[in-house]
Amino acid sequence: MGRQGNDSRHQEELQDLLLDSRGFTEFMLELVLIAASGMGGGEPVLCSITVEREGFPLTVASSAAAAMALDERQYAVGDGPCLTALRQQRKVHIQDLGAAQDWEGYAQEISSSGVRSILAVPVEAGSGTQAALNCYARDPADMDEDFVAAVEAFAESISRILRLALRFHLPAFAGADLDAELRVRALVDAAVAVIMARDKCGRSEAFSRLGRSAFEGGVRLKERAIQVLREARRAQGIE
Amino acid sequence: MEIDDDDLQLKQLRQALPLAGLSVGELWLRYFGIGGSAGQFEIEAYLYAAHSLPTLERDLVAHAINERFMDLGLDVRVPYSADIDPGQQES
Repeated sequence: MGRQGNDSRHQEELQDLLLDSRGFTEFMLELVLIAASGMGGGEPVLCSITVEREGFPLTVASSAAAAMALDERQYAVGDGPCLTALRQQRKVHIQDLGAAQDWEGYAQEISSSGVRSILAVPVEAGSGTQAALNCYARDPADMDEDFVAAVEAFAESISRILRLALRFHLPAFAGADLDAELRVRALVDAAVAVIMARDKCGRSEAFSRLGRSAFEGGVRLKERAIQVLREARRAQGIE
Repeated sequence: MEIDDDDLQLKQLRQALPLAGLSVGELWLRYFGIGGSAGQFEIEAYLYAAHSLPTLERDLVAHAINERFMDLGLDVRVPYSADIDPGQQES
């Protein structure tokens, strides 16, 4: 549940996280996934992003630890809906895991989690890298048509954040001035993704809303983006 | 007219650039950082009035230089499209 009266402290924490390059990728993607987890009409679903490079899948971010555990069961058995979405670059939507014969093995693996519906959507992540956005729900009703459509649009919108985030690990960017700009850019993109999920609008409209609010308020875009991300965390009861 | 509004914003931007102490490349990098999607050549062409940009992109260029003025503590601002024509609706 939310803690009260720590706004300024949290603002500082966010700034610190932003400046800490090692934690930056995870921080950014985690916030985006937290926004995504609330896109359905019902209970928040579990969301994660899997990236595979040279045959090694890895969960780079998740909205909750449970989502990462569900991903890792797939890596352990070498198969599953998110690995299929990622490797075949196609959407996989399992409405009721109990009735899906194709996924019997994986269904048994995760039966104790209570997850019944899974949606995995590929995310464009640049050459040599494959990625997928995964959603897990206990109630199949939480993954209706609208939710699936929203997740597909969302997966498209987070492609650039993910690619930027992955580029931070390249040594060529260490210490370069460009690094600071890329970080602000990723922050702005993350806020835009959050606005898309929150206001159920397209990317250009979401970006326009963010921009105008910064122009009108006479504040830096980064500051407005941080505010949007902080509000998203608060809405999820994280603060 | 929209053309005149664009010209006013561009004119002020060009006047502000030396004051901001930024090269076109540095301005572009800041503009890119806050979400701008036009390339450096396009921004350069825009500054020379050889290329037009959509409203939001123009405002982002203005905002990039305004953020620089905030950093410098200077009370100078390049206007946004809405300041020049408050009734204007983005298409």
